[in-house]
Amino acid sequence: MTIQWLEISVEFSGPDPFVLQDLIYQAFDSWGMEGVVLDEPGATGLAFGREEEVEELSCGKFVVTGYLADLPGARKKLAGLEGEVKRLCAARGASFSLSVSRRLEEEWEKAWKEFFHPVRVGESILVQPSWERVEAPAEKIVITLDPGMAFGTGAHPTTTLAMELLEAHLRPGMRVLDVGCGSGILMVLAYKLGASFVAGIDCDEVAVRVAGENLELNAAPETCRALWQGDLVRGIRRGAFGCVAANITAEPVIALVDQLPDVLLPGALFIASGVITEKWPKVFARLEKRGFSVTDIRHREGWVGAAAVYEPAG
Amino acid sequence: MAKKVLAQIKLQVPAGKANPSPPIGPALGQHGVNIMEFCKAFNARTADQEGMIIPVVITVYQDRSFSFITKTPPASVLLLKAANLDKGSSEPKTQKVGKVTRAQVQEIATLKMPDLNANDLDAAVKIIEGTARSMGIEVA
Repeated sequence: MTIQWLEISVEFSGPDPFVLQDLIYQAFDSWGMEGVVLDEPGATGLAFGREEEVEELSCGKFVVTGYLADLPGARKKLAGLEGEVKRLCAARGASFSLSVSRRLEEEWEKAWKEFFHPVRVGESILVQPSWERVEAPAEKIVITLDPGMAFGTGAHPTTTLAMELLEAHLRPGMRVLDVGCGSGILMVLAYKLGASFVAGIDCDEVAVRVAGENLELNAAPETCRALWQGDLVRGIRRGAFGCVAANITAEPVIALVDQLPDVLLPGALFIASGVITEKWPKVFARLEKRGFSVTDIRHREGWVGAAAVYEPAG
Repeated sequence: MAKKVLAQIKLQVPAGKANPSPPIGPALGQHGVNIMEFCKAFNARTADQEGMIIPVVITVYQDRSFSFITKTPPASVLLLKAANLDKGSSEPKTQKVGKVTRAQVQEIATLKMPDLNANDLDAAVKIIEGTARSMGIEVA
């Protein structure tokens, strides 16, 4: 079921507007809207130290916007918020106006799709959106994808790093586990590179569903794939996988590296991505400590991806 | 040549926990930004500040690529944390709900200095004290 949302905007003006903005934010937070959009006058591209031509910047006013799921109780919260903003503004000699409009989740789910076009990755991979297919592609491996609200389109550097590393190191016949599978893009790639079995795990149920749909879209037979919702590699049998791939972020990669010796046999391959450059030394140190030898390190736009082989001492 | 900027968006969201729900989904989706890519990058950068609310300014370019910078947490959030409170007072003039020390205010002002519209630390301290008063938090 699609959730409807109430978009609540408070526009205000008065003395010390940044202090008032902060107080109004507190009012939103206390009525269940922890995250907000802040519009304020005077924001410019120059703040980034570059001269840029700016098409559409600030609306020139102070506005705080928050969202409430349109469920029973939302109107009560809205009234509570309005009362609190009124009191805040009255106490500070400021004026405000509050407006509410209704928004549908699918409005933003679909908006970005317009800008997802086919991308070429590594030596021989093409990723194409399911709604914009390339005619007679030259690439050996073609992945068709509808990522929906799951991560992984092949356009982000962490995904391309993980894909290139799989392309370079995965051997046909390997059984592959993708931890934090997102859209399933790495599972599909592993299958197309000749993996005998591909499994994916993600803590997000949306990702688990979307990954299944993408495997289907790429004709991976049901007998050689598995997907489940869960946390890292708990419950996995030792030796079940010859390759584990994880395009997550530094902290869960480190937690995963601690768990992997319980499930991997010596010689198994580990592909890690999603680590920002500043945190790579920590991940590298943990890999070495847990018996991995790192064989391939690649950097791109502030991110690091690496391939490692599990070679415990003794 | 510099890339053409399409829009700048300022959000205030919990560190390490960005997801495609509002406000991130509608704010970025309407400019054609890949929402999940932003969430991943933001969470990777802010994972070690979990529990904090982080303002983030996102610049969206014509080709829908984006960059972002994170700022210091809002003064109100830092004050509540310092005073060990969940919420400020609804009647700040008459009903005080907590206390922060002058040293704590100074610490917050120092941290917030780069993002405040203040010429020196004294001016920054005054701004933070003003916010504290408006929340029913005494400075002693």
